[in-house]
Amino acid sequence: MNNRAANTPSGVQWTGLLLLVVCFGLAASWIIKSWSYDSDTTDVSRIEEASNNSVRPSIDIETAKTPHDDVSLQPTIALPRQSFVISGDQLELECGSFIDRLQTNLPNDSKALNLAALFYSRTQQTIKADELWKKVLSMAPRDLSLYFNWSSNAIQQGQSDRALEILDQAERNGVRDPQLLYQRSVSLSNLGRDEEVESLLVPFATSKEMDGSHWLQLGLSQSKLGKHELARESLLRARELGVNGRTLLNGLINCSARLKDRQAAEAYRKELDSLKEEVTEFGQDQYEARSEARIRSVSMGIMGEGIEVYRLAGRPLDAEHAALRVLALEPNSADVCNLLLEIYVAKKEYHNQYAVLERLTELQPGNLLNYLLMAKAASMGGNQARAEGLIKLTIATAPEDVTSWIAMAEFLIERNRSAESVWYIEQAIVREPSRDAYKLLANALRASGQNDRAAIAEAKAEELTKIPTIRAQAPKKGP
Amino acid sequence: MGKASLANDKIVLLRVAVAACLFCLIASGQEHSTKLHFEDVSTQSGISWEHTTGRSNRAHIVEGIASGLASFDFDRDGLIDIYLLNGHELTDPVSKKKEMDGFFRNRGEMRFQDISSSSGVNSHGYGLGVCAADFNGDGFQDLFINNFGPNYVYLNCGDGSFIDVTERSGIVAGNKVASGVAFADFNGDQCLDLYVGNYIDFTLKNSVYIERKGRVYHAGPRYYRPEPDEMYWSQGDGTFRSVGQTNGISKHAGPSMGLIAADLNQDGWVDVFVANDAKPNFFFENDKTGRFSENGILSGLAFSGHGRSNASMGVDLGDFDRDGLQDLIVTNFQNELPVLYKNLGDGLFEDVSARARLTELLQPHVTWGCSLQDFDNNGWLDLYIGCGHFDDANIIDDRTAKKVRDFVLLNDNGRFDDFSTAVGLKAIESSRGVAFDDFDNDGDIDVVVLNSNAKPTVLRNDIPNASNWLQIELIASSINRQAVNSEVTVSFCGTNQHRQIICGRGYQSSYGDRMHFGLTCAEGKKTTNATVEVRWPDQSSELFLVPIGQCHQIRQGSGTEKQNN
Repeated sequence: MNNRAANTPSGVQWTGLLLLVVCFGLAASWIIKSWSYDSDTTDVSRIEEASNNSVRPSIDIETAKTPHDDVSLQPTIALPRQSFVISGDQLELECGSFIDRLQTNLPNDSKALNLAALFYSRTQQTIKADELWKKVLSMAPRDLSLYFNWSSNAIQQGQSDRALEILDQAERNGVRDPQLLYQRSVSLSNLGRDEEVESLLVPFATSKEMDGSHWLQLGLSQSKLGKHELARESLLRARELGVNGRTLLNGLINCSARLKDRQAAEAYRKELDSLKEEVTEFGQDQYEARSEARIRSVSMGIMGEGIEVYRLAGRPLDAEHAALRVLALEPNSADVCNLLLEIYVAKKEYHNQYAVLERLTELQPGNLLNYLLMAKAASMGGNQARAEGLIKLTIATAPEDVTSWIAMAEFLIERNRSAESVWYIEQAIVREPSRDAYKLLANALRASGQNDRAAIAEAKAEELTKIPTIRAQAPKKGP
Repeated sequence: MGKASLANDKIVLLRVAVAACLFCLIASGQEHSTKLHFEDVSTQSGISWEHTTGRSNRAHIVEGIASGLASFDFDRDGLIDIYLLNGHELTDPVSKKKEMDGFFRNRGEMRFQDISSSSGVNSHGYGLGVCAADFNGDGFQDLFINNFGPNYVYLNCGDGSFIDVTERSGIVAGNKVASGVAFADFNGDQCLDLYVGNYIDFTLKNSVYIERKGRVYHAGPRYYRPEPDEMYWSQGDGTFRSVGQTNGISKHAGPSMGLIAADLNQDGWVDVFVANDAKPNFFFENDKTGRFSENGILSGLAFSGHGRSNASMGVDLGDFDRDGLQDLIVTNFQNELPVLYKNLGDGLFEDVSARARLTELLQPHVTWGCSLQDFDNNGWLDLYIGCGHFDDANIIDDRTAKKVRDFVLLNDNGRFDDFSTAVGLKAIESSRGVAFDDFDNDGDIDVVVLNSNAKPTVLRNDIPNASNWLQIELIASSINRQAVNSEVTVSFCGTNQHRQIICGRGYQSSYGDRMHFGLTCAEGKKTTNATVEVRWPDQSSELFLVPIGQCHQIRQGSGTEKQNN
């Protein structure tokens, strides 16, 4: 008998070792299980509740939330769940003060002044708006929104000829855009110059930038010129591009009636009847809606845009507090949450990013990207386990979406767990093979020492590269 | 010294030349010039009466929309008189009101005598709409007053007085909020029937207002339920019976304001256009039996050209482009340009406001009384638009105000230009109903404006006329002696002008029984007569040759019979 044989454990010893491993495993699993859930609820009941709830998604929101004892992700903000009550008048006053402060803080910022002018225009202080836009012109003569808003103000004042002058100024300053083309066509039509509208829009019609609103205006102008057949075609094209509503349907009724197509006119009339009353910004609707709904909409919209102005001007504190104020008034605004998120991303405040993303997942439960961003915020904030858990949650929610599988793979690779990442990449490839996925697989395999398999993956990636793909044509620029 | 003097003279001449050029450039900025001038003779007119809405400070909707007026020759003395509706303090709409309507007898030369107390017309309601019509065919025009509260029918006794025949008439109307009124022969029996517009189901109890920045503002009609209109057919004896429930009218409820009863689809039968406030307008087409179907949307009259339901106020009828078809002008709320609907024939209309160059300066204002009248006697129908808000709108909107100036747009070949200041419009008031007639019998159309909570504005037209005009008053053989809904074509110097006699127009008002035509001839041509073709309400036609520069009473049967093709 040699020395090696003398050192090998006996059968009894192997059995004891095996039993020890089993016991250890059982103990470990018990410990992990007890740490993962609150003691007062069961896994089964919570999962059942989450899956039975037809309003909320299958993602368990409770599980996704920050654990109470997770200090690393404790935010320094508290997002309200109910809006604070304020009257329309008070809100408008507040917005006015917000705009005053914006102008004081950023007196030479064209975006700030542009926003202020927009506020004045939308609150029927059109003369003040006009004066301010003259100032903005000297500061930012190539700002598209300047010309669009300024010309809209002129049209509102019943000065379409002045709107045309403003648009001419845009042209002289080299600012061309389909939106301005639309404004020009509206102004011309308001002045009864529909022949010019047609001359303007027909050549543009071949451009991909000719959208539904252009076709609608073209149709209306052609109708006024007595070209009812062409008008109908234009209006129908507008419809194909998603335009609907009273203006379109009224136009179709009129064209059809003039073409003696009574059946079509009647059909469109029935469609028009079925439309609910639109609340527009014109005339009486505007006047009455100013009592509350419109004031709120205008004020919230302006303050919301103010957040972005402050952020771009490099004033994150102003931006942050503006965003928090808007959320206090409108806690369910996903747009403002996204703006706030950008602020915290820039400030690298991961705990606050996490809190905002938590709110976003409530507001947009179907948006998996928010969960992945939460995972990233958790990871950056030092809570890897939380991050990993969130990514697994997105996989569980949308197992056919390769984004989550790849996200998990990248997460593991970044933490030197390439061997573990291989399985996740393979899951992604099974669902949607792609050159990038095979390349990622090859890298992960090499990092974990599986070079042979890596070579196979690289070859596969190369193979997919050689398959020609249809590339989208770049759209031609309009006039 | 001499050379310096010459140089100076040249400089002076140069300056004068430049100034002249500039003047020409500025003057030529308007498409055509005018000799038209309106002289404000309000103070001299003798009308010291002042309209009131009651001024409750509760912004009751009826206060904002009051009131209309009527101009008609009640005593048949050849001078057109004025009846102005009044509101009153809104504590109880049923009780006798202290504030009287204003009734003014024309004494000539734009002077008027107050006969409000002596005429016998003593409407208790809150006056909103009025129409003068000879519904019993005795040759004297009677009055229908459409109130917030009970309506009133006053029979003209022919001796300068009126008597209340409301109950006897059969025109029973509850305490509704009234609007426009029109008389016309809807069923072809040669009697004048009645269309009564109703607005909304407002009461003092359900009154709504909007509070903004510590002030009270009027809420619009969308806060209330619209009321259906009513139609009454004459029974030929001065009494009426309600038919709205069975002939298609009352099936549709809209917040009616101004309305017109006229043949709008050239089939010889009277249709009705109703301007609805913040709802699609109605176009009731007569099926030639006095029954109606509502075809506003298919006709193109329901909405503006942009497909919007405007808050329509007043309406008038006239052939603005002289194509032989009667067009419509409709006034609207702020930020809504008045809409000029061109009649395309076959019951179709098109919004041509922009193409006819209705000035966009009108857009910010609330517009009310309106009319297509030939103010400058050039043969083209011009536009008068009464403007004014019911709130201190300038506090929340810098584009308009409670009191603003009215507008006059002169028509040249179907295109309008704003001549408001050039013709002398200066009064800054909150206008409502406007009446248009030749009050001083000098061959041109004058204007009386009912201003909310103020005295009326009386404008004398001072255009130098010579004899280039013609006025016609028709007298039919039937009970419809006023010949309402007759069609008149005046041919002069190779051009034709077409009109219809309508009873009830503008903003809940009535005027213009005497048709006025401005006449022009090419230079060098001299014609002293015009041919008048009348298609009477019974569809018979006659031709008349009349001298121009005069007002003619034309009786049915006294002309040359025209064979209808």
